Amino acid sequence: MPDVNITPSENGPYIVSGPMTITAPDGHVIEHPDPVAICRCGGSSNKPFCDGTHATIDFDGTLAN
Amino acid sequence: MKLVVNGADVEVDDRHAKTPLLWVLRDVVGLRGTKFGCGAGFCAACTVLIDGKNTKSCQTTVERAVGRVITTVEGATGPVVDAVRDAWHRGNVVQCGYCQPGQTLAAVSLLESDPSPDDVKIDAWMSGNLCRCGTYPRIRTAIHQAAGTLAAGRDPGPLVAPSDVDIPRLTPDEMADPVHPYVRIREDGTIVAYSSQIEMGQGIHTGLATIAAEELDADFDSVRVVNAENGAGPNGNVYGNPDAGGALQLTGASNSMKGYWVRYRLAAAQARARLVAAAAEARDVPTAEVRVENGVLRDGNGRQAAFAELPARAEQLPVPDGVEPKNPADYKLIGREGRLRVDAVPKILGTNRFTIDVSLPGMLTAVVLHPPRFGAKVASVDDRAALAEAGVRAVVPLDEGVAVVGESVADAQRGLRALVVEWDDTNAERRNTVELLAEHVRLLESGEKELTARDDGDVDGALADASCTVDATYVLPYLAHAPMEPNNAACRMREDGVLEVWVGTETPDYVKMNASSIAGVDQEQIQVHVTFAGGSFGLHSSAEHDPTSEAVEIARALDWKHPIKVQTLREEEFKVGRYRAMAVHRVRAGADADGRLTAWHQQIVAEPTSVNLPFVRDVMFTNRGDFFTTTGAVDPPYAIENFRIESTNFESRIPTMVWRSVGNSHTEFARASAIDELAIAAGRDPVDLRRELLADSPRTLRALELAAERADWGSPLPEGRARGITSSGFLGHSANVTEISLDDRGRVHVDRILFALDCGRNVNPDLIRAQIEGGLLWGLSAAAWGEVVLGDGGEIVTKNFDRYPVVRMRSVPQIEVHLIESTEPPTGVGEVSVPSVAPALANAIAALTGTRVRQLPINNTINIA
Repeated sequence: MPDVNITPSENGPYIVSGPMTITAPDGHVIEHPDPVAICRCGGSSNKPFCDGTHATIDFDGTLAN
Repeated sequence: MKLVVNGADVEVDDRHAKTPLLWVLRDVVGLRGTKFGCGAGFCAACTVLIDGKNTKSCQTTVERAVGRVITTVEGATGPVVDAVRDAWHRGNVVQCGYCQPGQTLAAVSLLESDPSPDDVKIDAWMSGNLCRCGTYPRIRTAIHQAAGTLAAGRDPGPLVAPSDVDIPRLTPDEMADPVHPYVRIREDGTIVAYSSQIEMGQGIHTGLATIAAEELDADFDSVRVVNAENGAGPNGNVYGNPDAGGALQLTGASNSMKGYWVRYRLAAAQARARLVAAAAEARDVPTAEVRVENGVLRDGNGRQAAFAELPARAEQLPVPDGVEPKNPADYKLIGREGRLRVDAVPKILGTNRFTIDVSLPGMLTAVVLHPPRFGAKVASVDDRAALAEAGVRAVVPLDEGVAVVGESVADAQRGLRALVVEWDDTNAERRNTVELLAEHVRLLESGEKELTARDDGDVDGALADASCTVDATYVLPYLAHAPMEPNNAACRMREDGVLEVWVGTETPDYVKMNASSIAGVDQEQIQVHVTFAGGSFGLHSSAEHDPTSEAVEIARALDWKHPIKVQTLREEEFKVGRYRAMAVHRVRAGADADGRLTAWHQQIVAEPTSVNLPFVRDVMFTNRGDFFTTTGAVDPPYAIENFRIESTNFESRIPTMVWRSVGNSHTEFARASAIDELAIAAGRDPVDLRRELLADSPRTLRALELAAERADWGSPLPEGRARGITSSGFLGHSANVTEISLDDRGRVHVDRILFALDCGRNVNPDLIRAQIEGGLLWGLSAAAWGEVVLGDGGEIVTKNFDRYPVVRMRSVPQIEVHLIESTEPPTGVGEVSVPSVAPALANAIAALTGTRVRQLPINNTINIA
């Protein structure tokens, strides 16, 4: 089994199981010991993380077949 | 490491390399204008400028800020900054003020990059910054205003914060004086008004300044307002709420202005009479010859004196008999436009001191880990790793949780992450919110614990005879207050045995009781410093198990050696509850063949709230029933002949607390929705049906008529649009018309909310409008998205703004407030608009889509964009 599992929440962010790291385009590494919500709707003011905006813009997160 | 902050070099210890810049700015550099809101980048209260761009300092580690240009609210200068701040000030944008340093910096960054942004640009740019008071419409206007100022080349110059006012404790003589505890004129001519009501954003300080200046005939700008405290003496509490029995100093129930209208008008009129007497005595002229205007006294011989020349003499004089407040016909300030908030400038400049900003010599800061389930207790603590963290000084098990005490928040928080706690769930609430709701419904259906709150006429007979009926069940979730400033407190035991407590409390007397019982010292030995609250909305009405308790418990455990500040983390605030109760309502209503409402039976199941408020519960929790469960249902403005209200107390381990508009926040959703449902079933227009029911409530009827008229009720709307309406006699007399549309994906957009209000005399019309706007947006957040969820086993799932969405700039509708002129005494406006939002929106959705939403939040049924 892989170490990291990604679960798209219903019309909400990707929930990524931790621990994990994110490497930003400038090379700096964000460490995350816990599960983390990654923006899926594109509306977050806190990318790459979710900030709850998806709920207020009615993001349609239906997965493709 | 070296940081450059506001142009100055700052050396920072290497242990802070991974620390959020926010905490280093606040605790190491001492720049406390930058605020903590969520710690996770959801709210942007922590906004600073990094290389000119608005950036969340809670998401920026110190090491990443090295070599960059960091500008905080304290260091921001220049024409764009001045224009933004001036627009914020003149637009009465600020309410609690906690988010405003971040909001203004975001606006500065926007205008630096785009000098004339349109609404779409503003909405997108500003949607990262949350405001719980709902100042968004004014922020949008202020940004346009600032853009205009800059385009015209005007330079308003920097705002300047007024100096602090020292508030010495009242002496027994001063306390016995009829004027001194409330209004005092100082030797420099400033007038200090001591506000018994806490300023938490609602604007009550400005209301008090208006009353004081009006009655004194003083210059409005010469009035300074401070939070009053420690008014308890041998003859009761001079700051006891005059509209709530006078015993307790308490801010709540939207009755601050109502109480001020009685007490402070008179006190200021008496202060004026004394000044007049002093002037007459000094000049040896009859008092009748002394006139007062704009802070100057003139006698019949044309001689004049400023207020500043007379206070010492005036205070020696007795208050003349028979002094009455001014004749309203002579008002120069009350009821007029143009007052700017007296608390705005320090809040805009970031110099206003909230509880989070308290800093005392030798102070340690604590963060508290609370149980993951309500009612769980600490079984065991392994604090070895926590204590090994640099800067962690102690770990203190508490009555409800474990505190980690550090030299700074960042240290304590590192300690908290390293803490290992086992919880004892023996007495924990183990039900999830679905199970809790099911139990509410079961109790409602069984009626096994039902109490009758009101029973008029023959409800069963009238329902049986009705030619048309509605039987509907309405469901409302637990709701958190989530003010932008998490609830904090600080305390210090002085060498003279006085325990000082700093807290933005709505109830200083509760703080005394709470601190006294934990510390084991007399209440007379507790001195409360009421700080400005970064929002409260009822949350700070608690009397136990709150940050005050925690701060005192920790300080006591550490032998009173250190002043202690408890800094609540956002997740931890959600975990202590104090929610608006979950509520389930069943309404059975009937109409006769003519469509007249003839029968109303409403059953309510909710956890009591007033039981958590000492003294208040003695009058609110009577005959085993809670006033806050039935208020709004039991006392509608409508005349209904056959009318029965029943309530059932729900029991759980989840703490409840008064929440902006309290019982009406749930009862009016059921009432106003069911009336609409009945109107539809009976083929009546919802306004016509209400008009008929309001025959005996002329003021509410007038609000309804005004709202309907201004909203053009009855006129056809374009395809895909609809309106919903409510009316209410809650606090004032009001009506709400909400206009919505559907987009091509079936999402509901709230386009416009029109609110008509009769709140008696409009003391400061613009501040009333600001409260209505804020209340509507507060109600919109709750109606559309608000819900605290407990997961399996009772685990608290909703812990931050990601799962507790509140309205952001891009969803803010057009808001129109229509105030009705009145000569009746003023009533409160902080809560009055909140209950109307959910039912008006649900009624509009039913009109547009045919779907009747009976369960909140609405977004769980139909998406709100």
